[in-house]
Amino acid sequence: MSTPSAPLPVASARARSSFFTQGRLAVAALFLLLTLFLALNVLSTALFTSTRLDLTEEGLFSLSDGTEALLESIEEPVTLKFYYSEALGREVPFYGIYAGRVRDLLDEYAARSDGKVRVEVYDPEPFTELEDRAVADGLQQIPLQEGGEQVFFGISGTNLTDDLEVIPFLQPERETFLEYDISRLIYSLAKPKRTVLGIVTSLPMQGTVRMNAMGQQTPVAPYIIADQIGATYETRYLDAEFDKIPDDVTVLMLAHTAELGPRAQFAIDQFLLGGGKALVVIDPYSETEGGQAQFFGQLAPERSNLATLFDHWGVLYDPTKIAADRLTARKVQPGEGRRPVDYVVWLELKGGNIDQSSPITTNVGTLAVASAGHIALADDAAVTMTPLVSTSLGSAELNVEQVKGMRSPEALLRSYEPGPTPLVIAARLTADKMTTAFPDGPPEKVLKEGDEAPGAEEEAAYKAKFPQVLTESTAPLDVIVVTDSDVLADRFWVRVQQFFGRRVPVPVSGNGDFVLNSLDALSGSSTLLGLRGRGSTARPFEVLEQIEREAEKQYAAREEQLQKTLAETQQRFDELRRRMPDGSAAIVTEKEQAEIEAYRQEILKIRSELRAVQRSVREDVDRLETSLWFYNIALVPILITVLALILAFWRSLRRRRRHASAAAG
Amino acid sequence: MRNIGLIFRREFAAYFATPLAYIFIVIFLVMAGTMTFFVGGFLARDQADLQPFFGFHPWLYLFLVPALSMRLWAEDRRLGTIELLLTLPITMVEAVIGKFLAAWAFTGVALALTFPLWISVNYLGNPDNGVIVASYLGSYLMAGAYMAIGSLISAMTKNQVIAFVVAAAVCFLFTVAGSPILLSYFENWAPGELVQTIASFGFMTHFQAIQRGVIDLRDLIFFGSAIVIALTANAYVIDWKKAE
Repeated sequence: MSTPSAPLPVASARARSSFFTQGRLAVAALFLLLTLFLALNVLSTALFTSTRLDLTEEGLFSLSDGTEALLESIEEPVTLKFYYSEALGREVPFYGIYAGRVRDLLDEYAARSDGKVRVEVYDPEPFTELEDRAVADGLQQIPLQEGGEQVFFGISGTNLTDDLEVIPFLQPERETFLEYDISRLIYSLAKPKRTVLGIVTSLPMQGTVRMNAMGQQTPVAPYIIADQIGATYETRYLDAEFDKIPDDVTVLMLAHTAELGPRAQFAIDQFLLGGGKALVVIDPYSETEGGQAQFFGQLAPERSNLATLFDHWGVLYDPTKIAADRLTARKVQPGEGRRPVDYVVWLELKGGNIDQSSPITTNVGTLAVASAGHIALADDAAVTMTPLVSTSLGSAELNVEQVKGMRSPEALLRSYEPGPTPLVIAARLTADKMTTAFPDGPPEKVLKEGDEAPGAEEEAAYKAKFPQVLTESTAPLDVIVVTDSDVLADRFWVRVQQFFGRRVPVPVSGNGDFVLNSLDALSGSSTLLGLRGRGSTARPFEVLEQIEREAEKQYAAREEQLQKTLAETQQRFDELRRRMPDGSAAIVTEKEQAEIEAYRQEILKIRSELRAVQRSVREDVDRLETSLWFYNIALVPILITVLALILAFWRSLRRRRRHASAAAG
Repeated sequence: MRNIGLIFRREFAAYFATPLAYIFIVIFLVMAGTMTFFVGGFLARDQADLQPFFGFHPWLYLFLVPALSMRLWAEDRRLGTIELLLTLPITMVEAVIGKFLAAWAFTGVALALTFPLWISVNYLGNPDNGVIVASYLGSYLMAGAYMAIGSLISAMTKNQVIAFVVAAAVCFLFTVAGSPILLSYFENWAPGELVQTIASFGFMTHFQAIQRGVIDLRDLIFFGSAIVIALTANAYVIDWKKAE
């Protein structure tokens, strides 16, 4: 039995009730609200995966029409496996966020594909079967810390015939090309037939046998790049004397071919007019192969060209000229114990030299070239040129003879004279419509010494290869031209290490990526082409660049003029002094003395003027920068302060008047 | 609705009646500009975008918004004007929303006055203006969330200095939730999902997502819910403290 307790004082009971109703309730309400906030956001993260408004200029984060068309055209179902180690996101939250975006995008693909794209997500923990499967699928393992846990972050895709395509590691730097990369992967799986790539080359791309210094035959391994191309494409090496491109070839690679005869060029012409695409690698001087004695196989030519077709398209290319660039020159050691110097024809092009807005070059960090040529467009060119790789401002043009034989990097550097514009080393040439470069039809065979004229039968067989001679293109022209064949040679871009008998290439330059991306761009369907070029990330301050260029141009002209005057004055001054024998100062006439003094003054004046001109190059930019600082940091705050002071003054005036009128009233 | 408008107008006008508002705007503009140019290296980057400008916003708001929000309720509570306000024929919710909107609009004015930068970047190059619009919107939403939290904390105390310090501390937690500074405390013992969830509550995480130029419904819901829930809590707290 409980004893009845004494009744609580009324005030205390009220306070306690208030405590329960107000305090506890409020605290409970706060907790409830916090829980609601957490739950709402966890739920919304899971539910609304793709409801967003893309405000970017090029719609970078929305599925493009190209992708939609691709998804509609899929015939065979594709399965995408997204391997993502949660540990990566835990360690580096930035990757966690990016992984979320990748997942959203993949879900978007699945949702829009009408069941033709399936997405599976895996978290491969260390030492599990899943980890083995990820490795077998070709995903790249990255250690979180040195010797620590290995993580995955990539996508592999398969189709019904077990073809496999992989993005080994998703780099956040390529976020703007994420859709392109995934679409490309789906595209190659949905179209299981591999692209046939025809290759014409005089380079020993497939390997060769050479005599060494001891007079023994030594095998030379195939180019690394040839291995890599072979992994993606069905390659078909064509004879240099070809007169027709096989029908199943859709992309042609001309890799430093010997001077092609008219029939070979006609075959290329017809191939391109019929919708074929080509990667043309030409070179005014092949450092790797040019001039090398080859005992077996064909001797590679020093230079290559595609004159007839280039002339017709309006492409200017001089096979005797080499692009030199002091700003991107690689350092070489001219001799033992000597200081390394810039070798102005061996270039390492990067940053602004490479077009960052094109998927062909965007992930190419550097491109190593050796005595490359350059191309330009004639005024009435039939093609449009999009430069992919160019030299810097102030590049020079050298004669090919200057870099042959015994070279002197120092002499080239001393005689270096900067030119006015950058030179284009690699470019994409396109045209919606193109006519044939051979309006008279299939050309006559060029007979070499000892050749017999072809018989009527042989001629008829040749003509029969072209049942229909195209005079106009049936599809847009798309050709990538690279004016250096050394980009392909191992020695300029890759170090090959032997690892338990296996050749392990370690790239030191992006040449391999560049060539593969180019072929990839050319072999892509029009759907994929629509995706290219989105996401230009570089948006430089054009006005500043313009001012700097203008100032430099002005400076260059004025400096040259001043330097000339200075040299002349100095010369006259020296002559005058030479005329006076030593110790003759005393007998120098007043007139001569005045003349010497005038020259001295003149020299001082020119020197100071030169310095002023040099300073003025930066002055315009500095002036603009100062005014930008003022407008963006100070102007509005000053105006606001003035406004506040005026308002305060007006208010106090009003208050005083009111007081005055109140006092008077 | 009419009452919200009345409170809004009264509070908004009150800002401009004191020099404090002008000082606040001037400090905000000078700091934003200085950071953009001298810390963010706006010109040296040679990129026509406003990334270095928006990148500092979470840190600027971290101090400036609590400075604005500290007086929202603490002042009224100290002077006792809160009772007066609540005797007027308006509801608690209307008062809370009206005061919040006035303060948020004031930060909007400060933010809008950074327009010379937008003009500059368009003069210097060819920026993606869609991205800039999204970033301004994201920044304004984030300021709103900071303001709502500041308002809630201001309602909890009579002391403006305490309101400022606590609001800055809470906002700091929300700012760094997605960054390694905070996550490193959790990742050694907490399950991955929890760490990811904590990261997803970071203001910076959501603001950076919008800064790319994409307005995602989830980011809108995040900031929107942060504002609505903080204001609801704000109303509860005033109701509770009223009895004290």
